[in-house]
Amino acid sequence: MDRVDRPQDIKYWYGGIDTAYRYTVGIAGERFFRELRDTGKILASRCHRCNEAYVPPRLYCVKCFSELKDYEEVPDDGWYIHTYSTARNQEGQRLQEPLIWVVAKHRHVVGGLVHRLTRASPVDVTIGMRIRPLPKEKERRIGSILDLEGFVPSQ
Amino acid sequence: MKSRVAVVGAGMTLFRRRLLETGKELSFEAAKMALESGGATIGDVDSVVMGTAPDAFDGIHMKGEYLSDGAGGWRKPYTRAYVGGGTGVFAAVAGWWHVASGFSDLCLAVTEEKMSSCQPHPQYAFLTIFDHTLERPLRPNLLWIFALEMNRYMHTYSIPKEHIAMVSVKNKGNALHHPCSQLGAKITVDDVLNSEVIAWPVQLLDVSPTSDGAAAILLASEEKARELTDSPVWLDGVGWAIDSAYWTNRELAYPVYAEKAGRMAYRMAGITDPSKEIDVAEVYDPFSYKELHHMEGLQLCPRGKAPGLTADGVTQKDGDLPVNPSGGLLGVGNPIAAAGMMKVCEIFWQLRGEAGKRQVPDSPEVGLAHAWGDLMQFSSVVIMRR
Repeated sequence: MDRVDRPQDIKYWYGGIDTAYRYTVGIAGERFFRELRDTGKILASRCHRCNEAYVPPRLYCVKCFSELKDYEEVPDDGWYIHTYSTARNQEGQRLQEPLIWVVAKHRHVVGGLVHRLTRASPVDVTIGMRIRPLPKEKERRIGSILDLEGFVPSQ
Repeated sequence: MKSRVAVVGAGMTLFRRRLLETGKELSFEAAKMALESGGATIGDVDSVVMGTAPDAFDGIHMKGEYLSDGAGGWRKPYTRAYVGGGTGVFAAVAGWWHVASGFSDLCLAVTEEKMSSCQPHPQYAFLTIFDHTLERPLRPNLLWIFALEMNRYMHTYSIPKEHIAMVSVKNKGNALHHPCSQLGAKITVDDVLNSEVIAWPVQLLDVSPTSDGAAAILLASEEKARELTDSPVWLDGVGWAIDSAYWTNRELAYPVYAEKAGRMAYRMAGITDPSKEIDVAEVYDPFSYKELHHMEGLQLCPRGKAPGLTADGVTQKDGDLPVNPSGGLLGVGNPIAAAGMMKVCEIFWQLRGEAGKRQVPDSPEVGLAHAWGDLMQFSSVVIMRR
């Protein structure tokens, strides 16, 4: 095999895979995003057999495979940082203030949300820090995960 | 020494152009139905196979992994089976491996496709299956390649288009009795012949729709099957084969890959004359001519003779060789991987006498389910027996 270091020495054909997508949010997702948009609250679905609540809500319990039909509001109190990172943006560019990504978990539910931590200095972030969700103002909410600005420190 | 394998449960969702459910939710609904029909729970399942076709349909890479918990795969041995349009039946074959090898007593095989995510039409995902330097620069459309094959088939055996149109009439009519069907309809040969020409000789009513949907079966070892049910359906033969990916290097008028896959499955099931021993067949029919083309490859009739048999009514639900009593992909719909598994489900229901108004007469004992795909040169086959 020859080493290729001059692109003009070989022929290329440029191609692409041009597809766009419109994703349905699903049965449980419809409940989750409507609630988030309309009230700013986060919903869980509960499995009574396993006595566990899922966030984001699911149609089924992954353990016992029951269909989950009961939804409940997740209290703002009880969220904490399971882990975090401070990062450049998606294109790898350095930012003035790094993005803070967190795995946000809640004491009373299974799962949680991956989101941004805002209104916090990177140097103050710790694993286990208590946080709460911050919805956007109602008029800016459209039924998307971006209806949350992110999480913020509880205090 | 391999174990005998049975199908003990089956389930499927509605097939529709666009469903609210996510792919995971569709998988769950079909899997749950298969478990309940088999009298088992997810806790009884030793392993899970997920059959789902190109990631580009659902629009999520590694979608096998993404769908896993909906299919019941959470913290279980879980494998994705993927051979394009052949995936649905191949997922049953992969489930068979799990049980026949002695690895699992109970294996759940789930298939799913969520084609509506791809905008403006899943055709855009199909465009990327072609060779990137030889073919894609010419901007081919998937329908063209079927049109080229269909024309060669018609030319080789002097087949009148009217006989091919009868497949659409039959299958869409059968699908009127399928509770999950998307395009069941009472149509005539003239309707087909007068429908819009998309790429001659393919016309609109020769083509199956794009769909969302899921289907699943539960496979069991002989001991487990007898514990769960008095009416297991045995998976006595499996086969699969692939031909060249070059259009120019395979026989377009005759599907050699289907013959290879069929003969492998027949040999395993002890079938020597499929045209006489198969009581009911679900043959892959994304296009009307493909049902005929595949019947010939599968040795259900001599080359070039399937159109005539169709015209004579042999493949009708009450004919000597009922083909696609479900309504097939032309009538029930074509969520790629789930469409093939729908055919396995149909044979399961037919052999158990549970097909309702679609039931073929005379208590069929042996059935065949077939799917076709990859780059249009792959086949997967199962032979089922009650």
